[in-house]
Amino acid sequence: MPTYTILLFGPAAVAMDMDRVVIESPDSCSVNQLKTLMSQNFSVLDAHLQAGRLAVNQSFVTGETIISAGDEIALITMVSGG
Amino acid sequence: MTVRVQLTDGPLPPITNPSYTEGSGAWIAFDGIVRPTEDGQHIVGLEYEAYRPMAEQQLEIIGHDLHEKHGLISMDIEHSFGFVPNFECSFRLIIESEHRKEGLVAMDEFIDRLKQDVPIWKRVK
Repeated sequence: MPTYTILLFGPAAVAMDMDRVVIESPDSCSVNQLKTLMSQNFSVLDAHLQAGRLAVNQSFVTGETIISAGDEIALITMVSGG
Repeated sequence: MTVRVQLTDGPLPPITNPSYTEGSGAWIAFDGIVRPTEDGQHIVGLEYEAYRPMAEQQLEIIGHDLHEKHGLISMDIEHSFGFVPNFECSFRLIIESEHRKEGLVAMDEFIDRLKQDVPIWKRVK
């Protein structure tokens, strides 16, 4: 069963008190499916998932993008640089 | 065409010796400074966290987009990570352009996009 590690930063990392979470999926999945799985497994991330985007291999991607084993995945919540 | 990006640990030092590229008619610098209050409360500074490889990549993408869109001469982009105390600089953008107008417009557009698409977060200290 594929597992995906999602890097957390900023408010999402504070909410979880960790810098990454691991999700197990029955099959390969899309970005949108992974967000749903994250929400089901970590409800504390709900607001961050709704306001944020997932980046795959350090780029923003569409929700339909299929994630491959070994991809670097990160939850990019509302940013606040500057 | 030059776009330079740098992430720096801690506050950015003041500009001492500006250098101008031949052909530029405008040299525009913006410094983002940490304010001493946040929501009316006194703070000692801000802690910046960056997803560094992606932040650098996003800054370069935005820089190249605007460089091409506005026909700029150069862009120097620098952002802090780590702790930056009050009254210190945490972000600097220097734009050189042939005329001021395109440089000023690009400056504003860059900062808007920075605040949307660059994975850097700040936390009050």
